Amino acid sequence: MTLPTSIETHTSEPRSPRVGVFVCDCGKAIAGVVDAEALRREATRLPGVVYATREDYPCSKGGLARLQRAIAEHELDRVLIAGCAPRLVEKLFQATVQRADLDPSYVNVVNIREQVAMVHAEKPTAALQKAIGTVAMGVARLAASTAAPAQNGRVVRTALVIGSGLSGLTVALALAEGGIRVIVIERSDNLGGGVTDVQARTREQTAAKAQAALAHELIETLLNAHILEVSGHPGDYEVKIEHGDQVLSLACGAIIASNSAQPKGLDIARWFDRSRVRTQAEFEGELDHATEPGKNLGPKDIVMVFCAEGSQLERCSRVCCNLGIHQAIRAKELNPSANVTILFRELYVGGIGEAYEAELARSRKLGVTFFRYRQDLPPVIGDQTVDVLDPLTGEPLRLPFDRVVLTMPLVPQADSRALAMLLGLPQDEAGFLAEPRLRLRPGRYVDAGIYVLGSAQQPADSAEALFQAYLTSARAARFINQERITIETPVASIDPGLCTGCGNCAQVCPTLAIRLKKRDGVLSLSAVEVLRCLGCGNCVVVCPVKAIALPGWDDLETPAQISAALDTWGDGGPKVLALACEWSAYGAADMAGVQRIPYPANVRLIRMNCSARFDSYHILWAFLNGADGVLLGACPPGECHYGLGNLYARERIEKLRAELAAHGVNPCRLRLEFLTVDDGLKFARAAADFVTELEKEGAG
Amino acid sequence: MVHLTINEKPFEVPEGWSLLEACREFGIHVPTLCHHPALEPYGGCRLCVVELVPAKGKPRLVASCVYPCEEGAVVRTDSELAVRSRRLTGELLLAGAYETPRMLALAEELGVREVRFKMPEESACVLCGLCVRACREIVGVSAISVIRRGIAKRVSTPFQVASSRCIGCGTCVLICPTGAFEFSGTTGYQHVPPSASAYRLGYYRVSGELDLGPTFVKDLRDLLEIPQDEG
Repeated sequence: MTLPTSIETHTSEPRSPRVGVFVCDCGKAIAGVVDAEALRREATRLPGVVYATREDYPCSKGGLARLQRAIAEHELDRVLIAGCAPRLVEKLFQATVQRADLDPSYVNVVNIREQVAMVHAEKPTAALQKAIGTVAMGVARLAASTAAPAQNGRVVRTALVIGSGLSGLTVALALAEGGIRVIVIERSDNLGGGVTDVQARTREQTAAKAQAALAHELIETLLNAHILEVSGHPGDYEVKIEHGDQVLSLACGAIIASNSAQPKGLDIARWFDRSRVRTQAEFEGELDHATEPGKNLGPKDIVMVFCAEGSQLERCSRVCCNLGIHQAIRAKELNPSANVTILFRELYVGGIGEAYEAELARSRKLGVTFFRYRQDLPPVIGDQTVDVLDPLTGEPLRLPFDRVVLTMPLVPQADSRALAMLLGLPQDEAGFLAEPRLRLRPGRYVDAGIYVLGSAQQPADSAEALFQAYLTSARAARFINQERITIETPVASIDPGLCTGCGNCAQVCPTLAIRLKKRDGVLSLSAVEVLRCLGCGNCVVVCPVKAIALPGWDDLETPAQISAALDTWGDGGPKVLALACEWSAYGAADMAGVQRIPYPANVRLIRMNCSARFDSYHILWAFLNGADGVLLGACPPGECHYGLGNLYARERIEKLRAELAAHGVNPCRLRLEFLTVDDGLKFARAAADFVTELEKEGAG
Repeated sequence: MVHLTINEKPFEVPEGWSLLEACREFGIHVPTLCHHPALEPYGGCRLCVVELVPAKGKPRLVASCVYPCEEGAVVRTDSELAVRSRRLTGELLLAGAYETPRMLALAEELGVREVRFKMPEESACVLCGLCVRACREIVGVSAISVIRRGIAKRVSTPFQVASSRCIGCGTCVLICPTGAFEFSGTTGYQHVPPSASAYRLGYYRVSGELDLGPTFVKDLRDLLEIPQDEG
């Protein structure tokens, strides 16, 4: 029997990390305030530091070359740059250490320019102490960190188009022309979908596209198909589709939702004489019936009410004015003696080209009467008459009718809620699929593999649908034509040995990256889809057994920084630790430096990825180790880059404050502030306020 | 290696370095505004001009951030010509820029005591392009760019509408040397006002397939003290 070779690696002593510290003078910007030589000397005494040096400009070509050489000469495996805002220079240093065969996550930039030298210029001693603390925290973090390997994923050169309306078919054809395989799924049994445009031209266009799609060798169409499940990540989704009586599993790189909207049915809760009050769709059937030979249109007094449902007053359905006018013309043509009256709130004759406007002119020529009504005084449909106030004359109108035709708003298909959940997309008030709010995400998935267009997003006329379709196909093609997706930022990983399958993490994940899977057929187990993970750390906080790791923001790294900060504090004033979300408070602190707004120097900042990662354990660790106050900085509500991280943080902090109070700790020692990234003044004020309050309360 | 003389001292630098990089390397101070080490040189502000003395003919001014080190070049960073040019440039830059700490320090360094010029329209932006380049090269997003020409030139989003590519990272604000950058105004980055419906939507997004029921929405409402009828 041979022993596995991996056992040998366990026996060898793991080498303790060798940290190199590079203190930047930044000309005089840093060295003019902070005694850089003293800082360098202190840095050499920190645990793990084997090399510390000063540089005028480490970011210059010469500085970078010397950094690269120093890594090789002193066998450094962690590099700390004490310089300026990491946001600006981190990538530069990461690229440099990578050239020296070091993992880019092993370089850490701490800010002693904007956050020390620029704000504490009046107090050089305190500034030096803060700089030493900042460097010590950076070193502690590096020593505790483990590299996060970059995540790669393939991109399948197939696109899935949901819905075969005008926009769906247009996208499919455009992508197929670009050499990308396309699968079109349609819930009904014929291609063409729910085209709501009345123009014969649009219908012909759609039919022609359907023909072309059927004939195209790269397009596969599945009729009577429904999506059951979507898993995987952008670039490589696995979609389970119910097709007839079989379930297909398809791999695709991008998913394009272009399902149609449908006119709302008449609400059964509102009683009307249904033989005389019809919806536009029902009236269309009546008109079709009347065109059969020998049958004329029965009703003589027809009153059409546009924007019939209250909800439509907020959101224009784009196509129903066209439809209503079209039907009015048909009615007038079938029965020229009929009185056709249209009551409208606003007329929107959408679409591009003159055809729609011409229809409006034609309807007027044929004698259709138009009356506007006021939004707050909608027409009242009585037994025999429709009553409405004419806002032009201020006179009430009483219109007798044999037929009232209600133009109903377009609403999403019944299954759009299910689709939204499958794709992890938000829905708007009416239930349409909203486009993911790109700006609320970190720049990672600027081109995520899910696209929403046409009437899936909001009712669209044919021109809009076409424009959107071409735009989407261009974006989707660019996404699919990537060779692979790479993510270099850390993502969460779950230790299956520790996971109890409680499901907490799946509930709080903003991207549906965590799913529960079966283990041994009985228990469930959380699994992270790494390429969907944004790395916010919300799941790490809620995990009751601490089975989730997030390199960079781990349960080792933050407490290590807290301990290092408190160990190197020096004296003067209450000890305040600030956990700062890098998208808001950390940037705000940088801005305070740029604007040279001083705040007390006894505030040490710890950069966090998101307020979702503010962990009660870390805060308690800070208090246990002698911090007087913990200041938390998060994005304002509604601006979290990871969805709702800041609100989760707020909820957790409120609970923790109550717990602290119950255990005899003054809750004023913990404070959460909402800051925007450009809010330097607010940060400085919040920090000063907090320190004053702590001094007043005599906390400690 | 390339050999050159800066301020009458001989130096040796690797090939491909710019004059500014060489000066920085040897501790010779050259003021800059639009230069940032993490970005490609731009040559926009002309504060880094140095005098290049040819073997024959008249000395001329070059922007050191974009001018490469050449074998045998003779460079003066503190000549009368260079200093006067910088002072004038600084005065012109200050004519537009507000009196921010950075610009005041620059004025002092360049010896600008009085600004004789006046911009027709007061705008602190000096079009150094740092924000645009940072957005492209550091963030990798390109949400903003320089639009229009001549005196109408300014930084904005495409078509001057809110950019959907902006991720709200604030790098542009941070890198702006004059403090001119108006974050929401320029990028269209909207501070989303909290509303119950927005949270409900967000809630649907985060809850995914696990429906926690309307209690979560209610909790959020209570937490944020949003009236029940809103949204």
